[in-house]
Amino acid sequence: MGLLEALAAVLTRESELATLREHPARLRRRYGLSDAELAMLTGASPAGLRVTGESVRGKLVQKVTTCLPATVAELKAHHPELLNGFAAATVRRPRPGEGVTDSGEAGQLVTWIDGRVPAPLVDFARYELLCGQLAGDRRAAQAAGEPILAPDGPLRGTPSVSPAVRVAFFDHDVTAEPPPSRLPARRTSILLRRQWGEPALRVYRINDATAALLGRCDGTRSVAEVIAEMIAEVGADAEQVTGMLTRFAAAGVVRLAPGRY
Amino acid sequence: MATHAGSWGCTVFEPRELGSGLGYRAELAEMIDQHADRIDWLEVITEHFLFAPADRRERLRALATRFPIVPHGVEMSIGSDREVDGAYLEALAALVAEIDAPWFSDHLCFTRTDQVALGVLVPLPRTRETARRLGHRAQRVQDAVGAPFLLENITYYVDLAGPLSEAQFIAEVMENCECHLLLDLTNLDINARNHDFDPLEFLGTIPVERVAQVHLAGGADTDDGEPSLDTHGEPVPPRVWELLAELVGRTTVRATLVERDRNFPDDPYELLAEIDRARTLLAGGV
Repeated sequence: MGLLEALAAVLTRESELATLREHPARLRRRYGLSDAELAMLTGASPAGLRVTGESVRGKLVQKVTTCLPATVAELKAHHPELLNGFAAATVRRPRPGEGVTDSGEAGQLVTWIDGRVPAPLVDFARYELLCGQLAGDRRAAQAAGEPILAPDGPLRGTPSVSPAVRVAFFDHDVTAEPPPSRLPARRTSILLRRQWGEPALRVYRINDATAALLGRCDGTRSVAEVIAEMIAEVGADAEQVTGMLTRFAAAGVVRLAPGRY
Repeated sequence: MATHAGSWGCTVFEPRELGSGLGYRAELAEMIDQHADRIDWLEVITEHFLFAPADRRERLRALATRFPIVPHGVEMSIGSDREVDGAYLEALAALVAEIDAPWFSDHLCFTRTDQVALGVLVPLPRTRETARRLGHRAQRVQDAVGAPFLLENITYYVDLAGPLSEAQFIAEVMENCECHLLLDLTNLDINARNHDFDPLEFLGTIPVERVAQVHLAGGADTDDGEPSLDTHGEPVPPRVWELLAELVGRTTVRATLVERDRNFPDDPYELLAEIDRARTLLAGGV
């Protein structure tokens, strides 16, 4: 508590700004301010507080835009009141080690619009959030820069999807042409891959069998167990599954760790 | 870089001359690449690279082979009640070493409290106690990073009027550290007009010999009683050029930097002309 905390609260919460205007003594008690500190706050010009508060909200939108550029553009064009409402209602919390690609508030925006905008736009926002998170993920970038250790000989060990890869499912085709609020309703599985350098990401549409296979490459099953499950639960062919696993391992999408054979 | 022993036994860094530079922005990358011979140095936003993935850091290192690069921070929040985050400082020291930065800089302000990350530069109460605390902390930051630390005056719209003027506050901070100043002349011009003080009196109060670098940009003027805004979206106005000429008449400035964050001109020569003009003024021209 103290003067800086009180000023930060006044700049980010309408209720605290109203308290400063109408009941300054309450603000003094709440933040443990001295008379001189309270005088500094009450002496601040309303225009100055307003401009700075707008700047705080503008910076929040700017930060979210870094992660969700197309979603925010769509919101600005068609749902500006929602975006403004989000900026007014959201108070950023300090996080150590935060970079510009930190996606905390972007995730909050996706939650905020869920149920308030057309479902395709929510799905697209989730997709864009995933892209933003993967692009800024340091472990993913490191994995993308490592040489691929393709297996020579029969597949063995415990397969797991590379840290540079994400597999996700959507109820709308997030790979279709914009606008995001009119994406076709079509269950869509994608493989998103972090690359070293630019462009940082590549996206692939994958079929359900591929998604099921990659979903089982979680580092807990052996190659033999993955193949057995694909045969039993998906009705796949052993040779096909082995071929897909081999191609994914050769491409670095799946890594094989020594383990149970 | 030149160093000597300071009054408290700490190392004093003497920033070297860099010339006339430009703030690096992704939108300007192509222009910077094509006109590298007309840009003496670059300033990057520290937080764009501090905790960035390794490939982005690799691109920064490649850029540093072509230009001197200075990391300019916006999130150190040196004025917060707490000490600067240790992980932030450690990462900053690594970044400065990695690109062999001649110095690093941040703002005389706070951007966060224990409860709120404001994300914008907010002014501090201008008391001697705050100035002393800030100066001592800035010295600790400089010592921890191991390179010259430049502190920048901000544009402020909320005026936490204290016993000191802004210039007196800055002078008091400098009294309590061996750091240098990054004087943003646009911020000075905007503050002088918004808060009704004389910018020349300001220059006469701060220790101008500690000004190592200058920022130049254009803001948004209003004529409806609203504050003028520091937008970095317009050409550098004549008033700011006049302040630069005044400053170089009073002290040796090692570096100038043109900032543009929006309304990027279609014609690259608009920014290059500003860089050239700053270089001419640094050399004593008009």
